[in-house]
Amino acid sequence: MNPERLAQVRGILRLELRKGLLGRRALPVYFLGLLPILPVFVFLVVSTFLGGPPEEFRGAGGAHLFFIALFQFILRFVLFFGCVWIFMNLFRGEVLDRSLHYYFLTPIRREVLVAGKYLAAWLTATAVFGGSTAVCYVAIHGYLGGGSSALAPSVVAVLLQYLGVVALGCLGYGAVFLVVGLFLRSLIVPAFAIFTWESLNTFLPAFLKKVSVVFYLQGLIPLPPPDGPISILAEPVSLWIALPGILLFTALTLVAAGLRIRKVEIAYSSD
Amino acid sequence: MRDDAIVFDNVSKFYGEVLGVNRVHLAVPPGITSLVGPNGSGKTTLMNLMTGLVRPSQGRIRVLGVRSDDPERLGRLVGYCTQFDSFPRGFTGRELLYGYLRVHGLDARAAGERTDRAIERVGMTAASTRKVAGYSKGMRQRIKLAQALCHDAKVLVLDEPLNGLDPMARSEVIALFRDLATEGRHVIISSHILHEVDMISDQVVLLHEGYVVAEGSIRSVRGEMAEHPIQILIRCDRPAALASRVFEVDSVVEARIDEARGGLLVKTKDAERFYLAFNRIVLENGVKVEAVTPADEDVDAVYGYLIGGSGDQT
Repeated sequence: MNPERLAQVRGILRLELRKGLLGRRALPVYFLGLLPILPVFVFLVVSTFLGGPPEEFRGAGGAHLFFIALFQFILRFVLFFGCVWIFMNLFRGEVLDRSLHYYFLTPIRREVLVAGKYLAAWLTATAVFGGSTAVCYVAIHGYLGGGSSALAPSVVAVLLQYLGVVALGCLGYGAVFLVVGLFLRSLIVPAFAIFTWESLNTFLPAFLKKVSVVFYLQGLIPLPPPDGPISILAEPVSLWIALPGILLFTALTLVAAGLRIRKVEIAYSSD
Repeated sequence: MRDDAIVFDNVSKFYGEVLGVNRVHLAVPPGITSLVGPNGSGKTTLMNLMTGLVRPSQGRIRVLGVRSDDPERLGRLVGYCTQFDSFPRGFTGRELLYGYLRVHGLDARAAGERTDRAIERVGMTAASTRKVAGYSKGMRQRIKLAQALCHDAKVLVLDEPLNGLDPMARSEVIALFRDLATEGRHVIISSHILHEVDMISDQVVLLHEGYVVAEGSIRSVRGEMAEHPIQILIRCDRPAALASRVFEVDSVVEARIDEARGGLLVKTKDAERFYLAFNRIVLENGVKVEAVTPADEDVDAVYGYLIGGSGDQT
């Protein structure tokens, strides 16, 4: 990429990060980011009043057990709907605010605009949901495993893996919802349709499991949840398939978004 | 195609079934060009087309030789003060322009300097650190103008730029348009305020229901309308005496005292011949003439003639 385009992308990042982290539209994102912290906080307070955590949750093993369940909530609900909100509104929100022309009047290739906005949204999502994950993880391990265990190298290494999964999740879901937001006007129906599909993933035949983001992410979780009694098992994918797979999928959806954005017109109203 | 003009080559734009503009052939030269027509006539569509915000359904547009679907080059050439009274949320006027210039690829220093210059040029320095959301209509109009100007565009497309401005600001902005046109830029304006259009335009494009019905200077457009005699208002000390003599001129088809406008209204098919004969009549009769002005050589009258005198001008 030439220096001028890099400067343009930096310009977009400046504006979009500010809008994404400090703007009015950031409130639902922060709300979702706080959602997993809330039960952790309640658990810590109640446990303290009751004289300590239940036996099965004590120690590093208990902390892992607790976090395995919590991370499923983060991945399947918080991160999913956070990405719905952030990425579907990347262009749709600009149209609703009647501010898309602000970008369309700059001397920037539309594809570069897509890339810049997507990158800013990914950074926003990763920062908020990664931050939320880290807070929960450290709090749980600090309380259940003892203060010092939260900083043990092996525990931090697992946290970094979780954060990597969050970053990849934002990448994959972000790409899906960016494209959905560009092609479809409605936000609710496609979001819930995809949510249902991703939620049913456990019960889908092995070949259909692969047509989902969560399947690839589950394979990367350092401590995956146990399969339920009625889940259909599929061979988990390795990091070396999941990572390039998600990156390739992201690249393809960005290409689709780039092609789509070329045809987008400003039509808030006609004279 | 001309590289010094904004060229529309058989351009049509449809929004589904609805016509935006149809079969537009235009070559807009440098200077101030006004787009005139009522709501729905296609003014904003033409502006959106030449700025690349919408794409033609048919035909080609080139702005100083650059295709309208080439945003990378077009964005450097064109500054657009849109009719949309909306901005990205949460920004001050200065942040808005600065951010815009950073997306243009300028570094922090250059963007800062240009931002300050543009803000100063539209007289918004004092209010530039306030949030745009708290601006009055006139201030929003000015900051949009600054946005159109800040990257030193050669083509300025200004949709209703005088809306919301008080008379003082209006005259300042009109002076600014003149300066920009003098610098050799294309200044394309749409305005509802027809007497201001008359005052400032080098040429006009008259639109009606998506069609360009006339283009050029008002005088030349008016001159081509042979079926409508040219009206001339003469203010003098003895209008009745003058009225009895002007019929000596062959081209005069009507002469009457116009009480409302306080003078003699003459209708002639050939203004040049009339003016020559008029000088002689005045000298021979010793009439003291205060003023001789064309009475229907303005956008209002010309537009009325072209679309059948509906009088529903915007």
